[in-house]
Amino acid sequence: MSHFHRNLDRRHFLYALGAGGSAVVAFSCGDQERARAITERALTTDLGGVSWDKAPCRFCGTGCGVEVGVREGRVVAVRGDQAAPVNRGLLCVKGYHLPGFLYGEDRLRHPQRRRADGTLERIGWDEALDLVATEFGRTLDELGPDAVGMYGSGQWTVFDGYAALKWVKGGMRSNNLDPNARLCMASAVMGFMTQFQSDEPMGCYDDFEAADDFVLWGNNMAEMHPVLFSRILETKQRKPGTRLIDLGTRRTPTTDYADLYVEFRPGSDLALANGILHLLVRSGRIDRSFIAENVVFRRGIEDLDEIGFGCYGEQAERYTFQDTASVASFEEFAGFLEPYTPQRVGEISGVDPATIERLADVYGDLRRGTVSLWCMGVNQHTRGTWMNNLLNDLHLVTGKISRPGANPWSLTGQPSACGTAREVGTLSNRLPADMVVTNPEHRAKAEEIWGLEPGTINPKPGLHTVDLFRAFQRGEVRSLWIQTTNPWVSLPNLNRWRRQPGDGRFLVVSDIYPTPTTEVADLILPSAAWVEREGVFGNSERRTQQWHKMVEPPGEAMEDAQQIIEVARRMGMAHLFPWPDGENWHEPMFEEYRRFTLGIGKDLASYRQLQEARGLRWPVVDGRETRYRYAAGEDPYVTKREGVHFYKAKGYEQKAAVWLRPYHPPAEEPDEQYPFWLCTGRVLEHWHTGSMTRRVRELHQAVPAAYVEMNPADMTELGVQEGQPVRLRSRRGELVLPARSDAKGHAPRGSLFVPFFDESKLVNLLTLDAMDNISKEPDYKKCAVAVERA
Amino acid sequence: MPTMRRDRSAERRPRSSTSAIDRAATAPVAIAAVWLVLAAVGCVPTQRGRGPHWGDAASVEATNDEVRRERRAYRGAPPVIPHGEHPSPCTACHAGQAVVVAGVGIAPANPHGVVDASSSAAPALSLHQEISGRTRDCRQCHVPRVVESTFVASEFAGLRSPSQRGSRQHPLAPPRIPHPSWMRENCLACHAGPAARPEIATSHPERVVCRQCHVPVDRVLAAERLDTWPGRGAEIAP
Repeated sequence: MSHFHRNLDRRHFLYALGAGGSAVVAFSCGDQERARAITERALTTDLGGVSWDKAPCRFCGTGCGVEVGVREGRVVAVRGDQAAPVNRGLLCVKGYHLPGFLYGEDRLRHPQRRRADGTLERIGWDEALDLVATEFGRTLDELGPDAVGMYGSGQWTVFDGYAALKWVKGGMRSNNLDPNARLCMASAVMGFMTQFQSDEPMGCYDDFEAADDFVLWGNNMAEMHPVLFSRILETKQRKPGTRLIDLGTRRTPTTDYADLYVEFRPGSDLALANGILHLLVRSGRIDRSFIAENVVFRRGIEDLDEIGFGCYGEQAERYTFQDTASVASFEEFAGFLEPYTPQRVGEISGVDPATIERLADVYGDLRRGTVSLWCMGVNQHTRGTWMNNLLNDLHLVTGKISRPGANPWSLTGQPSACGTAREVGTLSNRLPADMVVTNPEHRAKAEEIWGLEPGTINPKPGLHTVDLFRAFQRGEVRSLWIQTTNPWVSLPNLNRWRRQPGDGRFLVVSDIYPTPTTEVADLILPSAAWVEREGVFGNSERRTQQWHKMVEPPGEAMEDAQQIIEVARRMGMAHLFPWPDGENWHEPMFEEYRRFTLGIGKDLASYRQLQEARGLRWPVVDGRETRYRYAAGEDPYVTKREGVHFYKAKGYEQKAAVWLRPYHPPAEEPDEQYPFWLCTGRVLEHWHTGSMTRRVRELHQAVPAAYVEMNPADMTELGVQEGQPVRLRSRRGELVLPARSDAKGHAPRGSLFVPFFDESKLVNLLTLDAMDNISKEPDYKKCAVAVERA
Repeated sequence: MPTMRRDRSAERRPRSSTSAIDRAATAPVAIAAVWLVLAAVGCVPTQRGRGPHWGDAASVEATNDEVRRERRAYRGAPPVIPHGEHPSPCTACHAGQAVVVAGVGIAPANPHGVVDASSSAAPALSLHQEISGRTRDCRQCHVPRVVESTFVASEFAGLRSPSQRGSRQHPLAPPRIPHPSWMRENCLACHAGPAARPEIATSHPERVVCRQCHVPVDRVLAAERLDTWPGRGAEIAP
């Protein structure tokens, strides 16, 4: 009855028969097989069986492979894909409970328009899409391309991001397109771009088995990247002597496994990294030949008076600061580091000088492979680009880069922050494959691939996220479309963004559930999610992963890319999406996008290849993926026999730049009036603003609400018991939360932690909108608050 | 208000009640036992109807399936933790063998960890072994229920676990394994000892090499790995 795999031997055949089931195994070499597989899948469904297909997990940037079990048109189970190289069959609790997020009772199923009285009315797709096209068209006519905008997501598939990029930059001739990834890893982008002139890590997850030492910089991997953390723990078990060093501002579940925990004062990681560099240079524990061959030195603007924090209302010249590089030398670098003695760094950071020496011993032992890992602690930092630079510096001066088990490792928090935001380039200054709108050659290349008239693409960079919302608030951006993200929970200093619909501006929100963001929308569009549509994500290790549509979306929900295409067609921009209506445009769209990446070291695999593989790490040349970029014998673009070649850094004679970056204090520090540090973040059970994970029964029941993590001594002093409510006040807002001393992590005295997943307890009412002025990424990790009994 | 907080009163109680421990009376187990007693009388915030399964003999068989399903989102999902948090490491009670806490309940053994070299899953197993050896990382996959409520009702209907026994080729043949053994390598955790449901308890727990005679039905474990997609095909209908 079934088409059996040719390798299915008699024994297995008997197993299958014995169970009275319908074992179906098909394998694909093209459409015919695929069609047959789908037919057979349907057949098994009829017989009550479950059909399985591959997909990456929907949540974090790890990119675990899952097998999705579908029966009768609904996802009924998932299991960890044992053949997926990322996770080898293991998932975390969010991954195991993935299917639940599709089936919340309040899924958005139909387009809805807000009436003048604030209530919502259901409308048809045609009317909804016409409305978007008309509003955006009218704004373009009346106010020009600076007055329209789109705010996207690192959870967008490659297709969604690419469609948005083409529509905004190639169609509307605006650059007001930015993703929520701006709030997440923009500092890492600027770190890589300023040093290697090519974005994304050189290492890959194979580092987790190859390294001798793992140094975590403000990175709670046990909760944020649990499956990768399991790989580290496995390595620790398998290779005795493997060390895990946890540097942070609070104890977390990760700390339980650390061989050394180093607690530093918030923001002083800049001093700590310089302190380690100081000791390495002073004692000569650096790789001089590597430096001579592969490294140049650069210095930026360091004057605090010139560099502000971009806070609301801050004077414009400090806010619009542009960093400029000047050439430096090794001697200048050594001189710059001189003041960062263990004693002085100890005073700034609160870290014992002997411990700083121990950290230098880790990096300075050139025989051992060191991997530095970081995520939001370093990126959401008022000097996040600098901090990224310093961590890359540590690896460049020791030569611990681009080889197995020795790399700086920037992790991402969203499933396609790399694949969509960074590679497709949905940032306000970007085009695909690291190109920028300010470069005439880059614009010309995009215009050529897109078949547009020369000069179509606007050379003026658009507004980055915080500026985009500020401009929307002021009415300078009149029409804004938000997809797959929830800024009215996730933006800092939320009180700034309050709005009443019907104020003359037009806000469209595409999502899968009602959120605080849809509450302020004029038009709500229902989106298809995850395996309800075809997609591609790119994970933290440059792995591009494809999946097929497996179930129908609920109601009239439509995938984000299709929504954009439909609007573009109504605006007379059908030429941007020339694929025939009703046909599957995913493959031709991907192959068009892929042209941007070929031949420049960012080569993506073909769509056919991606359909077959459990993801491939770019550059993929001649069908082969690359584990270590810039490394001889690994990266096909390196022609040297051995060593490394930073071939992308044309501006630095194809070398990497070590930047001299000083310590700056945070934008706001505790004082008498607001004596506590406030750090925000996540918990294992929830993902981002919780719009998905809170609708999963098991996850909600495990961690139903936000709380404030507080030191027991501070609680005693305040006279509050475990679980009693306290009021947190900052200069910007206030919030009442139950106090907890034993929830997940352990806050040091004078320090608080609040997770941000809970839309009924918006911690971003308190946070400061201070930004890294190079990456424009806000700092959610440091502001000052007061605490009182509520 | 979330009820996640643990009740420290359990820790402050004298440990005289260690006599209640039937077996392996280690200090952590003692603390856990006291905690479980308190949980049973409602002194700590466990959930109504979700406390440890006491094993009421008359209704065991009827409710076992129901209880089992109630703790899993779908067939193959990691079970939730059916009791509140307590101070001991998970492995103090959930070790290699099930522990009976007299008058309180049974702490089932940890099913993860006995690596059968013949299993195709062996290379990845050490991942989970490491995890199961530590307390906090049990929480990577298993979470407690601290509230009954849901944020929004869900229409998710997970794949149900079949109430079936392993089929036999002929009446005298050993039954085959009707479920995947991935992360359930320690067969005896469920099939022997006090935590074993009577209907699946083995008559011969002393023969520890289960897969010498019992072979899995699940094709993912039985068949060779398929390296291309689509290709995993369908699982055998339950």
